[in-house]
Amino acid sequence: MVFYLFMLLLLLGSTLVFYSLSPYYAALGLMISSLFGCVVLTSLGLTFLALLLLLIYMGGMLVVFVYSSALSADRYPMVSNLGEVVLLFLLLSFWVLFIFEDFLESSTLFNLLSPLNDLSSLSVLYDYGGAYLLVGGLALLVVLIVALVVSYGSSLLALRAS
Amino acid sequence: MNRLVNAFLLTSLIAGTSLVIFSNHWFPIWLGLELSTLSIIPLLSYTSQSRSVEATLKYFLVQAFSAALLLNGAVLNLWISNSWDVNSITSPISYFIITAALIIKLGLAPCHFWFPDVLSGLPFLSTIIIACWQKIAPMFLLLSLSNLVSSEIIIVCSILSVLVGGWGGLNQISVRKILAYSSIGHLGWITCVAFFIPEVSYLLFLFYILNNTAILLICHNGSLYYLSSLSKSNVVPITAILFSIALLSLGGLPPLGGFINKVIPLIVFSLNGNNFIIPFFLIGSLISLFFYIRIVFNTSLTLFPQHSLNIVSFRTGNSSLSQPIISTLIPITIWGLLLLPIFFLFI
Repeated sequence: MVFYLFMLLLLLGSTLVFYSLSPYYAALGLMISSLFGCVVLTSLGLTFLALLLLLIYMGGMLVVFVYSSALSADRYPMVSNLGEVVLLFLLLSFWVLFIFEDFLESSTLFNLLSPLNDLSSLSVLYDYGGAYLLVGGLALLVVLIVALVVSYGSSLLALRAS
Repeated sequence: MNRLVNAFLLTSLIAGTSLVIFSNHWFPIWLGLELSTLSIIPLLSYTSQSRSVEATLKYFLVQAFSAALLLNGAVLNLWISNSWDVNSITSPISYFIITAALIIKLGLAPCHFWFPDVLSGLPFLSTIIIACWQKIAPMFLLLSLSNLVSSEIIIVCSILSVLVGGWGGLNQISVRKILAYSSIGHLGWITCVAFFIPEVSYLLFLFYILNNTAILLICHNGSLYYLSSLSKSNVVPITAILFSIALLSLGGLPPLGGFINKVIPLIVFSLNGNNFIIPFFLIGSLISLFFYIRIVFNTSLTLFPQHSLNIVSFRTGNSSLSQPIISTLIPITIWGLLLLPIFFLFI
């Protein structure tokens, strides 16, 4: 039952992302949803993936996102519409709960007894799936170069907010 | 843009499309589609003009959304059929989601609204990449899915595409928008054959790509951005004649090569007893033939009042890299009808 509470808080985080007026609350929503995503993954037994998500997503990417939105957002942002966000979240969650009511009764879904589910398949990623890592790394290199070329701007010296 | 960066981005574009074509697993397919989308963004927006940047942004949003939808359908297929294999689409819902994503990527109706907007904001060389090269990967996926599951959604979307391609291009003055609507119409003809014999669709698609590339390269050479510049353009007279022939071939007039794109689908439909959909295709292609003839008319069939020294051009800037490519592609439009017996291997 607590598991569904975690998933609902995940939904609250995503509602906050897309419905809030100011990007600061959207970043807060990202933090909430990634945190509860990690909690959901941990309760399913996938602890390594949760750790990975927390470190890289929240510890790296989200910090950069918050800094760059602080650099580029409005100087006097609008006060948020938190009441409307919570109302939308409640409407969405009640809608989903009414559709999937039979689904919620069953309790045979989760395999909480083997916490090494992800580690045993992670080793395959490095063994037989080495080509995936290589191609993924090359794709990320392309993304880096694309991001740098697009944001080159008019300043030839540094990447600044001008 | 820096030459090395340009070469790197073009290489990763080709790598992305090849990754889609050569893989059996849904994840590299999604990766290849995203890679090809990302690597052309700087190629489209390197001139910082607002029209190009707006077109790039629209293109990126549409392609990223449809790639995410494709991955969603692939993961749904994984849940239902326990397999990441491309050849194991077992449930109709995952097939529908993946097909919807590919229809958005290709620009078939009813998801065609982004395509003329994007094409009309880009210079012609970028238009070639968007309209010809970027269609290879999603068309390949759509045709390989049609080998497994035949669904009538393809017929509905292709009939809508042909009609939209015809009516949409009627009141346009921008050559890029006209070619965008003609592209929508042609993709409608090509994908309808995929319901019956997908192998034939591959060949029709190749033929259409070569024809379209030739026309877009000629437009790039002469900077033919609007209908008003068609009569004033500074091309070698033989290019004007070949441009008119290539356009009439795209419209599907019989002795020219583009007639293959029309006669093979009609043969396939009537051999399968599906005569009901033929009038829709004929109406759509007739309307699109009107605006092809309008371009031909403005190019070489009328003489607008102008200074007589402009009529024959002795000095042209046509010693460019695209001229031999045009010269290689144009004979297909003239002699292409001789390739008709190849298609009878499949029927």
